[in-house]
Amino acid sequence: MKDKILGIFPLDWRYDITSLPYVRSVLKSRWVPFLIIVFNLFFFTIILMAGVVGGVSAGNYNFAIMFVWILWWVMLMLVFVPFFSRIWCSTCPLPAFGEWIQRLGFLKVRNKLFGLNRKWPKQLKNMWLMNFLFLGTTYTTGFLTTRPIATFILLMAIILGSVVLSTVFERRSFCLYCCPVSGFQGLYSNIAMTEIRCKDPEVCRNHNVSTRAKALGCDYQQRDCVRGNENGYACPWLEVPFNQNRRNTYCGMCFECFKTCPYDNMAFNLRPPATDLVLDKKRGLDEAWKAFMMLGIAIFFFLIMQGPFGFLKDWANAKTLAGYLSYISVHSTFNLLIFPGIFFVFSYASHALGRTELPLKRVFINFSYTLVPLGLMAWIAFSVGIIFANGSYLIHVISDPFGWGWNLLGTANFPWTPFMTGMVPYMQIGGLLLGLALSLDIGFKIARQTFKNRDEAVMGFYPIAAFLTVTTMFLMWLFTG
Amino acid sequence: MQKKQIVEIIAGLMIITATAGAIAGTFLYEDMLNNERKTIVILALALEFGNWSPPEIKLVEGEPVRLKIRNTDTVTHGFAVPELGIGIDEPVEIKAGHVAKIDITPTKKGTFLYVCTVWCSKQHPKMVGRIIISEK
Ligand code: SF4
Ligand code: SF4
Ligand code: SF4
Ligand SMILES: [Cu+2]
Repeated sequence: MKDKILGIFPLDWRYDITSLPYVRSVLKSRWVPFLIIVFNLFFFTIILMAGVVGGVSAGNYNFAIMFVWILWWVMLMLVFVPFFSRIWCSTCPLPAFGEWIQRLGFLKVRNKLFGLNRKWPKQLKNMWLMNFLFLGTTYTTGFLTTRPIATFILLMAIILGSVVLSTVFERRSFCLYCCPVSGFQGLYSNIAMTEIRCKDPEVCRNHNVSTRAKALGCDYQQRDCVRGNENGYACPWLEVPFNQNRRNTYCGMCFECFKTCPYDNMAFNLRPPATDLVLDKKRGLDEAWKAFMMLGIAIFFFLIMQGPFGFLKDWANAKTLAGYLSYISVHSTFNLLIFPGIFFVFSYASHALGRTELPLKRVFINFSYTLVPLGLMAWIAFSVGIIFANGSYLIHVISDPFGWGWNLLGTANFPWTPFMTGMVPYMQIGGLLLGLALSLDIGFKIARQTFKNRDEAVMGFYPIAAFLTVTTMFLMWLFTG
Repeated sequence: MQKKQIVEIIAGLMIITATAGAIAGTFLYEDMLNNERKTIVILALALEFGNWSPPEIKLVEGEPVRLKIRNTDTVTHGFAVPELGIGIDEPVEIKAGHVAKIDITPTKKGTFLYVCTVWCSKQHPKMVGRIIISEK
C-alpha cells in the first residue's frame, strides 16, 4: 500500500509506543488500568452524589452536570476518541462492578468467569440497539443538562444494566452492544490516531498451533490472547487481538492482550488518522446509521443549545407536552429517515454515474463512512463552543461540588468567565475544514474500492463530494452564523 | 495468607475507600463545618419551584446561629430580615448555585419576615418566610 492519508501520512505508517522504555511493563501490570478505574470510581461517586444532593435546578452550578456533560463529554470528543480511540473504556468505572463480579476478584486472573456466560443474541451483534438507546438518551438532553438527578439516573442505569447483563451474558456484552455511549466511541474510534494490534503477524501465525487444531480450522482458539492464561483474561471484548484486519470499533483497550501474549507481540501503535475507515471489511448498515445519527444529532444539539430558536429549547425541556412530543418526532424523523434519505439520493446518483458491479446498497453503506470524519469534527466544533463558554463553571463546582457552601480549593467564588470566545469561530471553521478534507480523502479511497477504475471512481465520487461539501458549508454557517 | 490474597484485599480496600469512603468523608466534612456553630440550612427557590424552604425558622434569643442559604435555583436571589436589620446595610445577593452564610445572635423575640431582595420572578414579592424568635 502506497496510499497516503491527506497525501501526507502513508497509510501503513506505525510507531509502537511500547517500544519506549517502561511503557510495556506498565501495560502488562495488572494494576493498569485498575488504578485509574479506582480513581475514576472516586470521581463518579462524587458525581453520583452531586446528582442526588447537589441542588435541584442550577444546572451550570452542579458538579454532576458540569463534569459529565461539559468535561467528560467534551474530553471524549476532543481528546480521547480522536487521539486515543476507546481509551475511556479502558478506564471507565461504570461497568467495573459487573466485571469484578464475573471475575470474582479485582486483580487475580481466573479465566472461568462467574455467571451464566450466555452468548449475546446474534441478531443483536451490531450497533442497532445502541443506536436506538443513544437516540433515546438524546430525548432527555433537556433534563440531562438541567436536572442533576437525570444524570444520576442515567449513570445508575448504566451501572446496574452492566451488572445485570454481566451475570447473564459473556464478558463485556453490555459494553459491546448496549452502552449508549459505546456505539459512537466505536465508530469514531476508526479515526483515532492510535490502535492496538499485533506487532509481527508472523509470530502470531507460528504461535502454539497444534496440527490438529489447524486441521479443524479453528487454530486461533489456541492462542493465549484469545483463550486467556494465568497472566490475563481472554479478550473481554470478544476481539481476536492478533487479527490485523480489525478496526478499533470493538476494542475496549483493556490491555489484557498485552498481559496474555507470551511473546510480547502486542503493540500500542501511533498511526495516521482514519486508517480504519479505508478498511474494506465488515461495513454495515448499523454503522452507517450510527454515522447519520451522530451528525444529525450534533446539528440538533447545536440548534437546541446555542441556536437562534428559543422555542426548540423549550420543546426539548418539555415546557409543554405538545412541544416535547414535537421535538421527539422531528428529531427522530430527521435523524432516522430524512438525513439518511438525502444521503441515499446522492448515493443513487453516485451509483448511476460510476460503473460498478456492487449493488446500490453497498455503495450507500460504503460511502456512509465518509461522514465519520465530518461528524466527529461537527461534534468537536460543538464542544469547543461549549467548553470555552462554560468551562469556568468547572472551577467553581470543583471547590463546592454539592452546593453546600464548601470552598475546598478556594475557587468557589470564581465568576463565570468565557474564555477566548473570539477564537472559537476560527477553531470551528478550521476543524470543519479539516473534517471535510479527511472525509473527501477517505471518500475517494472508498470510491476506488467501490468502482471499477480510477475514472469511474472519479465520476461516482462527484455526488458524494458535493454532499460532503454542502454539508460542511451548512455546518460552518450554522456554527459561526 | 498468600501474597495474591493480600493484593486482592488491598485492591478491595481501595475500591471501598473510593466509594463508601468518599461518601462518608463528604458527610463527615460537612458535619465538621456545621459543628463550628449551630447551623440552619435554608433553600432559596422562586415561588414556582417551592419558595423558601423551610418557610418557618425557629430561633432562640441570645443563641448564636449560622444561617446557610443555598440557592439551588437558576436565578439570583437575595436575603434580608428588615426588622432585624439583616441584609439591609450590606445586601446579601446569592447567585444561582451559590451559598451565603450569615452568622447572627438574635436579640429580640417575636415573629419577623425574611424576604428575597432580588427580583427573581413575577411572583417575587411573595417570596417570604418567617423567623420566630422565642425567649430562652
Ligand atoms: S462501553 Fe460504555 S460502559 Fe462500557 S466501558 Fe465504554 S463507556 Fe464505559
Ligand atoms: S498470544 Fe501473542 S503471539 Fe500469540 S496470537 Fe496472540 S498476540 Fe500473537
Ligand atoms: S484484549 Fe481485546 S479489547 Fe483488550 S486491548 Fe486487547 S484486543 Fe483490545
Ligand atoms: Cu427570589
